[in-house]
Amino acid sequence: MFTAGIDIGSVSTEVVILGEKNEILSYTVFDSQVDIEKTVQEAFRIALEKACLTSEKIDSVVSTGYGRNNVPFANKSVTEITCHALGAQHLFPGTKTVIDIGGQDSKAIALAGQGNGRVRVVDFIMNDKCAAGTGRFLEVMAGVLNIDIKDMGCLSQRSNREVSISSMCTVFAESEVISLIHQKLPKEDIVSGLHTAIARKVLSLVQRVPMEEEITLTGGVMKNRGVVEKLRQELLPKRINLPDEPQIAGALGAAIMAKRHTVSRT
Amino acid sequence: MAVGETDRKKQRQYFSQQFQNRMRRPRSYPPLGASQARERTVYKLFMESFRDTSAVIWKSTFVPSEIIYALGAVPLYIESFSAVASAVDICPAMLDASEKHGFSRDSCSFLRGVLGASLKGMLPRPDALVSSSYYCDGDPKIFDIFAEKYKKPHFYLQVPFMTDEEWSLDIVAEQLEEITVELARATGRVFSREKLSEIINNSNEACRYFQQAMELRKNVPSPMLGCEAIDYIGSISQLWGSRDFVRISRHLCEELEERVEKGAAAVENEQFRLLWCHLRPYYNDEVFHYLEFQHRAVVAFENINLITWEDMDPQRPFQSLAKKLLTNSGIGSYERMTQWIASLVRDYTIDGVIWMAPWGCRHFNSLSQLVKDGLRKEVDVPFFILDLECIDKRNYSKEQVRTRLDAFIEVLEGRK
Repeated sequence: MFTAGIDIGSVSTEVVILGEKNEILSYTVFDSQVDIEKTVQEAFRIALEKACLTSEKIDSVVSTGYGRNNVPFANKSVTEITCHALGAQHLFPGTKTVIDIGGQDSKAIALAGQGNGRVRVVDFIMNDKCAAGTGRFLEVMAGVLNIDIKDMGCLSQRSNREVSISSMCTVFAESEVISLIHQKLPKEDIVSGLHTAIARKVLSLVQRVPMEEEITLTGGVMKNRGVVEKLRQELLPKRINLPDEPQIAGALGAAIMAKRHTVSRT
Repeated sequence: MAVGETDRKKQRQYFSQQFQNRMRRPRSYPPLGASQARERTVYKLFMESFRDTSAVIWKSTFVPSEIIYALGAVPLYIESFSAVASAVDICPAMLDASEKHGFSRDSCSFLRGVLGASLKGMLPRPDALVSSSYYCDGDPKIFDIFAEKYKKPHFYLQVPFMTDEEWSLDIVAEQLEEITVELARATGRVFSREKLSEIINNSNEACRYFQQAMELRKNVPSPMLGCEAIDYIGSISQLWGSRDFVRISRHLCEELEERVEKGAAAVENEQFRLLWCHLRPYYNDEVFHYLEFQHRAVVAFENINLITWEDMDPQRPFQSLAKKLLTNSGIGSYERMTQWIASLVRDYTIDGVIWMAPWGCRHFNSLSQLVKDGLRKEVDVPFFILDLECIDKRNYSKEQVRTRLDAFIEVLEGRK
């Protein structure tokens, strides 16, 4: 049995193809375009190619993320909260809390065992009113600093003296960063300050759900090792899990959900 | 502010037109007769308040309307004007007016709406104003602005935080008596204890029916939509003591009795039973419809429709009204609110609690996490804090809200 999970987020679209034994056969990460259906078709086609499969071989597809209701060939749509929880638990079975930072939202999810080896979501919280402290925020700051967003993590590791970024509104923080650049402060110190600001902003939200001993980090922003390091420091002494590819946790969870969906149908 | 008869006539006509539009709106469910009567009664009350011959007393949420009815005056629960305006979509202009006047968009939209309506000359003029320190501390402050604008007296009811103390009861009772006498003086009306006793009897009678109706909502499946039931509170805050509310409550009770006897369900194939805390978005019905019709998750009860007071003694009206006010679950410590929520979860067989955290409501939002954590020790029930706006539709994002509701329903499905 083969299943697929598709996570259509505001910034990126991910597809995961899952094999018989719940192993990841392939995955793709695409930038989300205005034409969601076209993005999904292309991402799905490439993922199938990588897995050496055709779409007829896929027993079930579950879509998730903000574009979840725009996938015409999906058998079911499930929210990203449930999918990130399933994906994180699949990668790290001891996970009790998930912190996810995506393109425009951040969330914390609390999990509990169901007694049958499966887990269920018992509580969650998401950012509201403002998307500061998410992937888009980092994109804007990378633009202002004229650096590649992928280099921000490495750059921050070279910081000797972190700069305090007081504002967490994206627009105001942008002006603040411009002002710091004018003061000729090293970029690595500014980036380090931004990472701390993101970590604190996210923690102020996510600590409203119980923070258990084993926490798994998911979402595209977790590819930034500077943000991850700051979160680790703030969450000490809790055990922090970081997947090799944190960005596909939602799509992975959707593929697992697709498997459950197929089993329940048969 | 001097308002001439021509202005009042225009106000009446404008409001009448808006109400007619409201009554003609397409509905996705057939409303109960009692609910239609309630809407008409509120409309009548608003129209009455625009009349030159009426004595109109503006009141905030917890000021008992009984003392106003006892004077033969019209009680106008002024925040409900924002709710009505939002429902008929005339609120954006009111909110713009208050923002132009310097009021932050992050402050309470009920109060911003009323202030804007006042600035635009849409409100019936008051003869006097009464506000209370609980639940909302913004009320007395904005009432002061209105008092100055309309050159009318503003009376302030201080409600102590220590609700269970004997002295709290005495303090509130004394103030209520004093305020009633002052209101009589300000409006040129005569205060009679006999009349107040009669009004208290009306409240007792209406309360018995209303409580009975709310008891009937414990039935599974629920006989009434939450979308419909939640609208009662805005009206009843200004109808306690009136004969109209006795009739409405009796009617509601009879209709629900009949529905329960027939086994009629408000939501076909009811899947989940929710407890809704706080008010609702008034600018559309989307959230309730999405829950009740798409997810078949009926809002079985709303904490704001909870009656916590017992029969009042008509011979001791002020003591009784003070007791009624102090037993309100919204007043006092968060533990008290938590206990009430826990008992509602048990009594109404609740699967999940949605705690609406309205934009700009510092009071309710400060309770959110405390109640959530406290409730965890009392009952095992999922509790979701939903950030949502009551009045200002500019702060509403349909897809964001739906994602959160979908996720909460998935949490409930995971427990089945």
